[in-house]
Amino acid sequence: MDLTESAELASWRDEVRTWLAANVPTDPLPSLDTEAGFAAHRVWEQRLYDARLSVVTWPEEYGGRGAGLLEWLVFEEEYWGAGAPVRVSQNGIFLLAPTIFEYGTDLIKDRFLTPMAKAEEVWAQGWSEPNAGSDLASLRSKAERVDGGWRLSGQKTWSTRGAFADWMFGLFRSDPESNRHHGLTYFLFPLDADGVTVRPIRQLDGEPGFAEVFLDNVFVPDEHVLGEVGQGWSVAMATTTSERGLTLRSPGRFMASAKRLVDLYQDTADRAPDTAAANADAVVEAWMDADAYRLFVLASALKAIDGEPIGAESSANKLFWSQLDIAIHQTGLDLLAERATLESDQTAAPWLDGYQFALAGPIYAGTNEVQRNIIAERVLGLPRS
Amino acid sequence: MRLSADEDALAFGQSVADLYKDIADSAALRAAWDSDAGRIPGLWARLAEIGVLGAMVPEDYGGLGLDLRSVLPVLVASGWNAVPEPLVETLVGSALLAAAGGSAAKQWLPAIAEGAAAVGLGLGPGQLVFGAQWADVLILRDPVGDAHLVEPSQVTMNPATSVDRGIRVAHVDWSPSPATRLPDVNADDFLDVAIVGVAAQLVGLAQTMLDLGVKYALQREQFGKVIGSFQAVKHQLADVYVANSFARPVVARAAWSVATDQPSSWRDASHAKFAAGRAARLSARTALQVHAGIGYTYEHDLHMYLKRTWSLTSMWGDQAWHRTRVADAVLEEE
Repeated sequence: MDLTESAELASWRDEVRTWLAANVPTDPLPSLDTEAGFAAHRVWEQRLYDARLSVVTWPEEYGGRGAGLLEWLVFEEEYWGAGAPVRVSQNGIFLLAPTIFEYGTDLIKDRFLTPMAKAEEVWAQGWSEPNAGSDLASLRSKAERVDGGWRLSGQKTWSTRGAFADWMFGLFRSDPESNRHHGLTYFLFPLDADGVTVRPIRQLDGEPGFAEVFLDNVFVPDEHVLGEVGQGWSVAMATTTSERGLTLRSPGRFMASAKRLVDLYQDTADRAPDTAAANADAVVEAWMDADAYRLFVLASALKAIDGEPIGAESSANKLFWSQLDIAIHQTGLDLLAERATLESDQTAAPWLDGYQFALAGPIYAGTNEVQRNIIAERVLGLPRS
Repeated sequence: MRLSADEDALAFGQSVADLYKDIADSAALRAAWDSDAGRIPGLWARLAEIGVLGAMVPEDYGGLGLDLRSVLPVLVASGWNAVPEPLVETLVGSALLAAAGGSAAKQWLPAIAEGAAAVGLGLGPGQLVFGAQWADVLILRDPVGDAHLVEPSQVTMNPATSVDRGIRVAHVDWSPSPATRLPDVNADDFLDVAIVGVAAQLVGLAQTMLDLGVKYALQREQFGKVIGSFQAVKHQLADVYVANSFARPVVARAAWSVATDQPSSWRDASHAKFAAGRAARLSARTALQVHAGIGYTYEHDLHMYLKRTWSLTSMWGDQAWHRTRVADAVLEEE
């Protein structure tokens, strides 16, 4: 065991920190889930891209730094620690791009990666359907073979970023005789294509953070199929593994939230000592769990660097961070006491936003119940129900 | 950077796990619980033979000269089997004596490495002296934080009986004197070594009870199916897996932090024991619930692990004590 940071990592940390200190907007950007906010976040991504900091883990030819996992963890710690904006291109750069690197043709890589890294093209996910949520394999949206490509029809829902995004990646049933995980194909298509209707859905907080997407005979050329026809499930699982594993929620994010919670505690201790004292245990437990999350991800990253696969423990990861995020924000609201729900209160508003965002954690990317089943069956060896 | 134990340490842990499988399984544990001595016959000598008891004794005194990081897998394995021996006490005692040096080290370290002497430890934070009735020599903290070396014949021992029959604890009346004082050691530093050692045992203990719960869930049938196929059971066991998975790296970090004397070592030690204690408690409650009626009997092995969980989480600093210590580091800064 040795947790000493190498000189190279320390100098990388320094570079990132210095750039962020000079460039992170002093006033927070408007919400990502508004038209103006979405546009402002694109501008921010462009700035990151120009500094070659938007996709640090990607190869240099696509605008990245070829950074390894440890460099990525450092980047994320600094990024969130600096209070930098949330990533509008997250779906693309963290979920789709790893799949493109693994399965994409040169044509797909050359066509899509750079606009994604610059947030010129922002991606939405097309997984869930009205009757296919946790049971994703029951999806029914279909792809019909036509000359030179496919025609997509059906309905996708809970599509994060769908309201303002430019492109969508998703799974469709390309073999009408198939069922469950078989006969699915992974498609890429623009949301302004003929036959696509996007209907924004207001989320818990009232803003259109996701959308329903209706498809009526939408043409997609063969070259925009990702991976083999009929192999969509295994292609998509490559994405969800990285989603649940290391890249969806970096420790840096929760370390920054836990630090803000400690700051809020200290302010409360000055202003309302009884409230602070009553919540001190919850504050310190949230801090400890954020620190544990950092160490767990570091241990997983070090294993991955040693060539050990990241398997079902990514489900443990998802359970832990989603519960941690709620605990941090619930505790923040508890410290704010009767101010907690006041959107007009400058201190309370971000905690309330963060709490509402955190509540989605146990639901998306595979509900926590599904993750518990995965752990019970694949790690502990218990039988399927 | 590395957070897992190195290959040698893992092999050391495995050799101890193999030894336990041979002579310290749950039947041996049960026999020890029912005996007056409370220990597993022959185990201490075998632990000496394979180098465990001399692990933290410097090579000059016949030991291996290892630090806490290298014995962590041994301690996890010892927790796994809930061994009823003064292992943490003796390992930490030997590290403390090595730091003190002088005649005390010369007198006791070779005997410890050979398995001829066990240590009882009273470094706080409470009043109990751990392993006292088994000890050939006691190391006790005085009110100002100095450590003292005292022989059992020099003290009045008031043994207490724990529901965990695999430990021995006592209240000890004694008088510190310049003659008993060990120079150049801060008792609190070694308390942190012990705390991390106990945290490692708790991680192993949590794993034992998870394994027992899973095994039983795969055997026991109700409503025509094994109960492990029911989500209500699966999800509880998955939560234990998660809790323990997230305690392990915290314990590993604490071992590094304490062994290399990082500024945050005391905070990290307390975080480790809090997290491992929480995981073990959850594992204990869950294992009992999964076993249901049979788990609530004295005949089933589970109760020995439950009671070890209760004693280790309440002793060596209880959960609230450790959380408060982390709070002192985290909430009071600036």
